Amino acid sequence: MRFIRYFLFDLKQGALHNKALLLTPAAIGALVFLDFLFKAHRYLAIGAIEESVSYGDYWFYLYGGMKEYTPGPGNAFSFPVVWMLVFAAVPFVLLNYPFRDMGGIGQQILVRSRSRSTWWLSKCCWNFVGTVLYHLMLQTVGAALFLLFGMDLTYRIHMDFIRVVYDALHEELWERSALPLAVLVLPALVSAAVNMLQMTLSLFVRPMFGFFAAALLLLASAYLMSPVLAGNYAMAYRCDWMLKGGVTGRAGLTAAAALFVAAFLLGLVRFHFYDILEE
Amino acid sequence: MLRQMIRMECRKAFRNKMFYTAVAAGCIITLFALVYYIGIYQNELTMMQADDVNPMHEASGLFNFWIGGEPFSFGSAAYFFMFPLLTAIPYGWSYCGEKRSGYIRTAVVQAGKKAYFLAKYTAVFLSGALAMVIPLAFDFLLSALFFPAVMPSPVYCTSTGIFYDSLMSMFYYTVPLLYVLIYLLIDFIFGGLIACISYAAACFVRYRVVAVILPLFFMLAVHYLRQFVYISAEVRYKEISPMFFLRPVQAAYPASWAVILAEMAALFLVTFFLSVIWERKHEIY
Repeated sequence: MRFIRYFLFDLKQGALHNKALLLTPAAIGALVFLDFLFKAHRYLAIGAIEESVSYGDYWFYLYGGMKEYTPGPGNAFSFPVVWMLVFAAVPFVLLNYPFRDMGGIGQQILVRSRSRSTWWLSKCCWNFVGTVLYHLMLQTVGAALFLLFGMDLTYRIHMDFIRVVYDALHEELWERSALPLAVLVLPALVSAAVNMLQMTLSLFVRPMFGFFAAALLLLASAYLMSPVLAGNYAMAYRCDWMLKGGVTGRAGLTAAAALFVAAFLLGLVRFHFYDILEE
Repeated sequence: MLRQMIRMECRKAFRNKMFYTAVAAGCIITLFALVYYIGIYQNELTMMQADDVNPMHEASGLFNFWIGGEPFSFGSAAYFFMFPLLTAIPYGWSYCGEKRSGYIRTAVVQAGKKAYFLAKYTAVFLSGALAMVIPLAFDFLLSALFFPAVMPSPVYCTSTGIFYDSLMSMFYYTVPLLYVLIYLLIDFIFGGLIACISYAAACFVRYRVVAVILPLFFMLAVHYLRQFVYISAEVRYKEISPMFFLRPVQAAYPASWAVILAEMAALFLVTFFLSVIWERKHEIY
């Protein structure tokens, strides 16, 4: 019962009243939509794609990431700016609330409730819901703009568009026509796990270093296609559903769940000894 | 009084754990690049000994194996992505902290607003600039222990990554050390100005962590502009993103003095106006 009250409080203060959590994905969604629209029109005009794009392509443009990077002359590393912006903005907008709360009313709650575990559990649930809300907002803005522009609002994808955007070879991708549910939810789950990791790290070091570590993990995932780096599972392009020899979605779900639970447990232990008055 | 304030602010900026941590983090990131290139160089040496072929000494030397000379390693990618954070961490947060703690009131009464804000700007600039350049200089000097400082040759421009239209390519192939020093100077100035973004942001935001992270998102936003500007595959554009043109090697499009100086001037004017002129006119009590 107490947990539900805490969680509802966190949801209200840290998510619904958090303007940054609602406005940031809206702004990013609109910016990426414009970029996507211009690109699609350009490709259509020069004949690089055969028919106009759909919402599935926009989704893939948001979460696709980048193709595997192979270092070598003439191939300098260029990070996937859309993917990086989408995934680095979440830890940023969710970074401050738990520590702000701990320095304010949270201290009173912690002292009166006599339960640190409940407080931490509530923050973890808030973190998860906040991340899902962010991604929902991002996609809702895209969907709204698709409706506004009278474009095809389906999860159909066009392989010719994907091949041009990601500069992919014909033989390295499977032929797909629509996005399945498992692929749709994976990026948000991995994002929640990375945010959870950041929140836990922020109990050990300052929150800015927690963010630093999360951003570095995302960049490392873009640089190296490896099942060990969680960010790879958040790139729809690198999933074996799309890329031949890509990372498996099942492993992605397991990795995201494992990372989330591990970060939760580590944070629980750390928070038990955390000096809340120092904050 | 201004000189005293600057000295005091600089002391605060350079003698704090955050400055040391940012510099150490930057140096550690550069080590990733060094280790990667030591492996490549060892490989090349082995191949040279095994085969009687052109050793291509000019294609693998200090000037294209140090972190600023190559755009391929993870160390290089990470450093030139994370530098907005690394420059803001040392002292970009200080104004936010001092506003919240009330220290600013005491300091302004003692020294005056003008001296306080100017000294703060100078200290934030210098701390950011040094946090940007120290790891680069560290990597260059460390790399010099492992790789020969062979004069690069334009024959191997695909290996060196400096082409005929690259910024200061003439210096690179004639006086490479001067080229490196000029680039370190550019990075020094940009590092300082990017740190000042967090100082300017502190005029509007209440939390230190937000002020420190904002420059990274500002740089990402500028980088995103490339998507709207570089629309033709046939046009040879000039690089507009500091995340690319602050690299002494050409990562995508060639850098240009006009873009570098224009962005430098814009950053200086905006940050100086917001943090020194605009903020000075606001009530501190």
